[in-house]
Amino acid sequence: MSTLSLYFALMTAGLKGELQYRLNFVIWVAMGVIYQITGFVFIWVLLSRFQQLAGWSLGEVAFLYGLRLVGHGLQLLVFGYIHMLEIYVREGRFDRFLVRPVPVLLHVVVSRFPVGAIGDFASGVVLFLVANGLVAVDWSPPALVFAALTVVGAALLEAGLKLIVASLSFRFLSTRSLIFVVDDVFNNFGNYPLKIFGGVAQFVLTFGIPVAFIAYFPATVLLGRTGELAVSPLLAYLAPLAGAFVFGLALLTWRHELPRYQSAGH
Amino acid sequence: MSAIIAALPVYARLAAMVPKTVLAYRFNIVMSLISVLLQIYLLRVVWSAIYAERTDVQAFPLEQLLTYLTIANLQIWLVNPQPAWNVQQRVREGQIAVDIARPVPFPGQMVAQHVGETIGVAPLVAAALPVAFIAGSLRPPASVESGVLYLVSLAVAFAVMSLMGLLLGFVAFWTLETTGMMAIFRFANLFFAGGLVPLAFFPSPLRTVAEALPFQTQASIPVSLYLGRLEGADALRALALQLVWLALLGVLAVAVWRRAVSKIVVQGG
Repeated sequence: MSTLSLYFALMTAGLKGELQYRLNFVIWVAMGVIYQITGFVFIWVLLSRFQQLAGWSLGEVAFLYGLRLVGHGLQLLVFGYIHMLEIYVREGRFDRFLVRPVPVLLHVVVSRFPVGAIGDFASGVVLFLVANGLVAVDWSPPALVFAALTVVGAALLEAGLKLIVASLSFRFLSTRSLIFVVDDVFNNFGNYPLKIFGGVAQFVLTFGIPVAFIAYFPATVLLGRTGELAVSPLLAYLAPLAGAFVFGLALLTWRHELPRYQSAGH
Repeated sequence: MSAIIAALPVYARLAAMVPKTVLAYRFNIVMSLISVLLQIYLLRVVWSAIYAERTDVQAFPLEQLLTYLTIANLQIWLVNPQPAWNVQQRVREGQIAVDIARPVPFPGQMVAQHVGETIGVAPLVAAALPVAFIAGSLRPPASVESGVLYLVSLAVAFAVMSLMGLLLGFVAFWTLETTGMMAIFRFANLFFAGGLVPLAFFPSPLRTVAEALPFQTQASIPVSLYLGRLEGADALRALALQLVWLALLGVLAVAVWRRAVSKIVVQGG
C-alpha cells in the first residue's frame, strides 16, 4: 500500500474507534468548536463596538480569521497528536512504532484520531463562508486555486513547526509545552492584520515565527490589500510555498533526530 | 463556622505542604506564564491600534486601559480554578477514599491545597512583573486606599474562585470527566471578568449578562478598584457584590457537596 492509502486506512480505523464512544465524540467536537468560537468572540465584540482595526472591517478580520482557521483545522486533523510524541518516547511506547511495517512518522501521526480537530475545521469553514458574504472577493479560478493552496500551505507550515519541536523529544524529554506555546502564538497572532504590530514584531512574525504566511499575507492578496504590506507583495503571492519549505525542513529534522532515540525503561 | 476556625491550624499545615510540589511542574507553569505575557502583548497591540483611530474613548485612557488588561490577565492566570482539576484527579485515581476518611472535611482540604498552590506560584508572577511592564503596561494603584481595597478584593476574588473550582470539581462525582467543561469555564471567566474587553465597552445586552454573572469578581471589580475607577460608595458597593457572590457560591458548594458525597464512586477501590 502506498503511504497515503495506508494513512487513510489507519485514520478511518482510528475514527471508527473514537465513534464507539458517541457522547465523548460529540463533546470533543463541540470543544473544538467552542474553543475557536470563543477566540472570535473577542474580535466580534471589539469590532462591533469600534468598527475598524487598522482599517480592517469586522468582515475582513473574520475572513482572515476563517482562512487561518481552515488551515489550522486541517493541520490538526492530520497532525493533531504530534505533541504525544514526547509521551511515547518517555514511556518507551515508541519502540512499537519502530518494529511495525508502517513508516515511523506516519505511525505517530495516526496513533490516535484527533476528534476535536473536526470541530476546529468545521468552525473554520463556517466562519470563512459567513465572512465571505461580508467582503467582496473576486472568486476567479486563480483566486480559488490560491485559496486552496493557502490552506494546504498553512497546514504544512504549522505542522512543520510542530514536527520540528516534537523531533527534539529524542534529545530533550519535555517538548509538549513548547508545542503548546507554538500553537498559542499561531492561535493568537495569526488572526490579526499584522500591520498593527511595530516593525520589529512584524519582522519576527514574518521571518522568525512565520505566522504572516499562514493567513495574513494570503488574505491581503484575496482582499486586494497588498498595498499595506511592509514587504514585497511577491512574498504574499508566494505565501503557500512557505508551508512546503518549512515542512521539508521539518522532515529533514525528523530524519536527523530519529536515530537519537534511546529507548526508555529497558 | 467554629469547626472551621478550630481546624485552621490543620488547614494551614495542609497548605504549607503544597508550594514545594508545585516546583515539579515548573517548566509547564513557566510556559503557560509565557503564553499569558504573549496574550498581554497582543492585547496591547490590538487596543493601541483601536485607540489610534478613535477619539471617543477618553473615559478610559489608553495607558489606564493597558494597566487594567495587564493586571487582569496576570491575576486571572494566578487565581485559577485549580480545585476543579484536583478534585477530578482525586476522584479518578480513587484517592478520594482516603481523603474523605481524614478528620477535616474534603472541601476544606481542597481549598487548603489551592491556597498552597497559589502561594507556590505567586513568586513567578512577581518575577514576571518587569516583563509584563514591557509587554503591556503597569502603574501603581491610584492611591493608598485603592491599593488596600484592591488587596481585600483580590482575597475575595480568590475565595470565590476556590468555590467555583470546587463546584466544577464536584461535577466529576457525576460525570468523572470535566475537561470540556473546564475549557468553557476558563474562557467564560476570562471574557466575562473583563480580561479581554473591559465591561464598560461591552455592547449593552452582553453587559447585562456579564453583570449578572460571578466572573466580574475576578478582574473587573478588583482591577477597577486598583485603578481608582471605583471609589467611595461605588467601591463599597462593588466589594459588597463580591461578598454576595462569595456567600451564594459558599451555600451552593455546601449543598452540592452533601449530594456529591453520596455519589462517590471509588475507582479501583
